[in-house]
Amino acid sequence: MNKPIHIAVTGLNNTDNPGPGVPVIRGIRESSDLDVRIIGLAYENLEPGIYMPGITDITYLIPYPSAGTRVFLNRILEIHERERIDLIIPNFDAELFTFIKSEKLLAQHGIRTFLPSLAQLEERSKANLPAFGAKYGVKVPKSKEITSLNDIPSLREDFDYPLLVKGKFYDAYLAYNSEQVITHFNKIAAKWGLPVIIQEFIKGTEVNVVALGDGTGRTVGAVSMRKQYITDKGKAWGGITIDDPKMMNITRDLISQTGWKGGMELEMIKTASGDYFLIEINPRIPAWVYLAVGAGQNIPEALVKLAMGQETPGFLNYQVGKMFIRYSWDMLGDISQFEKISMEGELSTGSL
Amino acid sequence: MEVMRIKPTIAINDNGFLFDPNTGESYTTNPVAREIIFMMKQNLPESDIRKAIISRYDVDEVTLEKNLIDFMAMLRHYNLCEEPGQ
Repeated sequence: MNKPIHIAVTGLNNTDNPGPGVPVIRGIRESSDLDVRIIGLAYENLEPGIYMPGITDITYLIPYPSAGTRVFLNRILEIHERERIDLIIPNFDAELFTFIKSEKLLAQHGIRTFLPSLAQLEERSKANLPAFGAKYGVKVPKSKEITSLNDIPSLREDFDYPLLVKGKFYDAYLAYNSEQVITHFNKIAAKWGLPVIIQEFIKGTEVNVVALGDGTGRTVGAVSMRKQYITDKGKAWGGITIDDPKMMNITRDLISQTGWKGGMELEMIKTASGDYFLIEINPRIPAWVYLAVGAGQNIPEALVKLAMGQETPGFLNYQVGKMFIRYSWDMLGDISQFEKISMEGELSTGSL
Repeated sequence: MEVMRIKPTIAINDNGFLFDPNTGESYTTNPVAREIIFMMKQNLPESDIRKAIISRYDVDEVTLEKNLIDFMAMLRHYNLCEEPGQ
């Protein structure tokens, strides 16, 4: 009998700004082909995924990558010594750089990843999106990086209001005048650092695709979704799978041209005239991936198989009209669990 | 006169619930709208649709004409139909 695959997963923050960890784990656990042990990696001791039954087998606290690569990796390797991690699936944009840079080192310790290259990561960053659009023939909104409040008055020369003010990793706010840009700039710069990205506002419907590339240009899976209910943080609280051949073509074409490796999310705006503007590429699986699983494409499972070198035929279709609706649920716990994760930095599901 | 066609991808059930798989939008229709859409899906000419509605409902031609124009404009607005020849 084969040994179970030990998979470490981050992004257990199943909050109103959800990380993809819990839905990724749900997809993996639903696989009939994979025997797995799930090791949760959490940054905060109140990430709901730590306490949710049936999600992780054990969860460890890890330091933020901003604590330094050495500190971060030492903790990962310490956990590896205890757990024999076969594969890590990072689910935060902010940690990807560290994991990609450490790919070889992790591989030397027998830990696999399935991530885009550093060049692929950089190329699709928000700041580089205009060049990305020009290189691959995709329409993108006009955007500009700013690093100081002094750059704001001159925005009138290049942009019409309203415009979007975006953080380099997360957060986007609509601003109707320069005063609002200043407010959003300060808020975003304090949280995510500089630069802050100013982006042209394109009016239309936001449509998204979750996709998986195998690194050779092949699209293993792709499912498109329209957000039906959006939170004040701009996150999908409800969504539905749609049949949009044009978006699928754009996705497959981008994966083919870039040779993308790993999960990705394309965020696009479809205008009333039927044009598609690429507003963002997230270089990881999005938090709504469980919709794709339910629609017939278990993308987390396929990612694990690709990472483990198993044969992974591509998905050919998916169910259109499949919906998801998030909900909040008061889960009860005990102070002893909180104590264990806080004091010892780990909590196993067996102790729940 | 050729009638506009409901896009072939649009699904409508017996309850009058309409789903556009291309956009993910859904719509509810009243019984008369549902009948008209069913007839449009069968590619019936507009004259036949008018006759069918007048024979089944207590409506004069002018009122039907006005309402039908509004309804077609709404279908066009929501991008649910194709113009003849498309």
